[in-house]
Amino acid sequence: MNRYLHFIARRERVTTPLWILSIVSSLLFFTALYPTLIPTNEEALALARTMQNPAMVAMMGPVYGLDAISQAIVMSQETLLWYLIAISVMNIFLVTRHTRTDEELGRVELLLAQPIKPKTPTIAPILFALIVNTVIGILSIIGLLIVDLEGTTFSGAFTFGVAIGNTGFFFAALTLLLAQLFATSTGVLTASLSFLGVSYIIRAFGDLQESPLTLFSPFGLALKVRAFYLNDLWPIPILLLQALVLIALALLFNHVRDHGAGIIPQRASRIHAPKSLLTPLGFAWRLGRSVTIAWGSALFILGLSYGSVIGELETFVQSNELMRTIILQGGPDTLTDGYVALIFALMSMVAGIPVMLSALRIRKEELRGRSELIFARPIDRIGVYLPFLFIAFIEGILMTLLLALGLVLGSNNALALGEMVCHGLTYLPAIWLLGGIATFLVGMLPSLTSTVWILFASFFTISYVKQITPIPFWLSALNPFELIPRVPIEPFKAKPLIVLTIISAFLVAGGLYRFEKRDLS
Amino acid sequence: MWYSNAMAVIAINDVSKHFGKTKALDGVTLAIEENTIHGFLGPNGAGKTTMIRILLGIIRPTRGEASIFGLDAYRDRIPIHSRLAYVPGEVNLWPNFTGGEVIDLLIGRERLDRKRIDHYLDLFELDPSKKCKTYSKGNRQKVALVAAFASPAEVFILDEPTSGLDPLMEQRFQQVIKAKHGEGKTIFLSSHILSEVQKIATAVSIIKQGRIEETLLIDEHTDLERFFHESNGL
Repeated sequence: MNRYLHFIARRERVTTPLWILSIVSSLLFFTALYPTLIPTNEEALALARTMQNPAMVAMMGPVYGLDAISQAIVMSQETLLWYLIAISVMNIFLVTRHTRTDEELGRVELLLAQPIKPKTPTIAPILFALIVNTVIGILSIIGLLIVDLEGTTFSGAFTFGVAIGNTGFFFAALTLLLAQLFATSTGVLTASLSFLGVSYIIRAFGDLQESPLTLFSPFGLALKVRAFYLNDLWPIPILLLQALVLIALALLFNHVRDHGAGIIPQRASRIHAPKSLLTPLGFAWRLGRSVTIAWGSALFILGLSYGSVIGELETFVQSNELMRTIILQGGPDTLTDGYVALIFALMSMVAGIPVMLSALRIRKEELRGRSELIFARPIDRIGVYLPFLFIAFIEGILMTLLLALGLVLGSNNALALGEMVCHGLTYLPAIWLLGGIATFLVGMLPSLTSTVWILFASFFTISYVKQITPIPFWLSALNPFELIPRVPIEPFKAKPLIVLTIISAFLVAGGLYRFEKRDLS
Repeated sequence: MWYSNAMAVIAINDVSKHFGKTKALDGVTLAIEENTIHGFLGPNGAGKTTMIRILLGIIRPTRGEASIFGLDAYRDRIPIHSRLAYVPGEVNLWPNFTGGEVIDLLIGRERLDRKRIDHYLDLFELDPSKKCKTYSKGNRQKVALVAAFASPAEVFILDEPTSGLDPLMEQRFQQVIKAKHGEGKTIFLSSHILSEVQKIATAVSIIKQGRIEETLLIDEHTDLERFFHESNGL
């Protein structure tokens, strides 16, 4: 067992320290922000109150300790859940790597040929996880004590750190069990991460209704410690007990099942391509669908969270001078309009990212050395590339709609869906232009396609700097997103939209034309 | 000359390809007759893959022209490709596709023939249900070989197709090549391994530093080995 643990530790000498480092350093970083964020108790109370609306509770957990507010309480209420999620994800990957992945790749088989007990490859990973989680827990406690926010107590820091370490260990145990049930590492990861997602959602609903439902989620349970306020330790033994039961089940199933197999029979994987994959559009969609779905959900969630603060804008702006200047810049009529205009101006750029990724995907195929396989088939290059661009085109619309929908739902229908959709769609020409630039580069300057990201970063910087200090028009006009009228605080103008759309069309046409002709790499 | 251009399925006429200052190909002329197994021998970096990419219409020659079935390799690539199959030297597949999916994708909907696919899957002992990311180099090569052999092509362009195969599979590969030759197909086989080509090729060209050194027919009396020693080896 010692040798096996040593063996795992050797293979983990880079990955695990990196995880530990990033979790602990982000804890230090975010905790250290609070003295500047909420220097006085009034501000702490104001911030805690903005966290009390349903959307925020659903996202970050219940607000507590308003009668004894301190920086430490607000910090714990706003951040603990994210560390719980981070450490859970770490444990899921860690345990999967050393159980099912190893078995899948035949490494465990090699090791079982050595004089070790058959249970060792199952027990060692969970022991290793126990050590890692303990280390993170202890480092978190030390970190919190070092930053020493107003309201920090040893018992508070201790509960906080123990909650993190214990939740991590729970997910390690869960993954160990799922690794016995599923026969592929992808299956184990999907199941574990889905469990994590469902736990988050159950907690959100439970916290919203203030019902005990939340206790069925490890996250909900761990948040019940209410660190720096009540410092309740009762959830900790429950989590630990659950973890032990999961481990016992894992060992039982491990004993019952065959090596290489899972308890749940594997769904036969495809030995033939579905008809859709054999069409150019189906092929393009298959290559990019996971990216599209990921960015779509990201924009929807961003929309939800930005929408959720609409009701508290007044409080929010009063407590933050910088926000005030940014949102009220140019003297808009109302606070909400200024805020909505700002969100669309910035988030539309984010919506452009998946569009660029789709337009660049054929270049990625080239770089991965698959262009010969693709283009040795009797199909012309435009016929292959065009579906990717069609997807990019639709993606622009889809992302904008998801963002608008998220805003409306997050605001609890305080914002009108029709209006938000219109505001969002106003930015479409600029989003398409990003796709146009990417296509142009893929055709004309394939070796320089990554400059599209530099360009994108500078657009973002221009918009960002413009919020804080005035810049000359010619400079801001370099960013196509700045040419779009800032609805709803500026009147809608069709001309820039038409011009940008025409430019995008020309860029796409030029890129496609050259792509058909140029040498592929 | 032992060949006549009129009968050539693949005709390469004074083809050069420059990448910046490097001359990957420097005036290559070659004709490959119908129903031959043409070995294209040369050391790594001699220009074999560049030549094949030109034949596939993926890159355009700086000078000269290449044609297949009398059609321009670059301009008429679509009609050519519907009668051609290709196996790359370095087979890069989509990690999340299964082998079976890739085979169907490479053959294309119109040319799909399940019976032929199953025949070659059996022959090369390939499990098509696995994700491509789990395949070894040899298995990835088998995916490309099955797709190529199961498609109704008249010309097969193979770029170092056996570099990842074990000796038994290499033998099966040679059987298939001979069978295809028996059916009247034309095979263009690039390799840097002399013995592999010697066993099956009916003609051989040797390329070095972007130039064709020699082209010769092979029969049981040809002593390629001695020939190579005389031309200072590969």
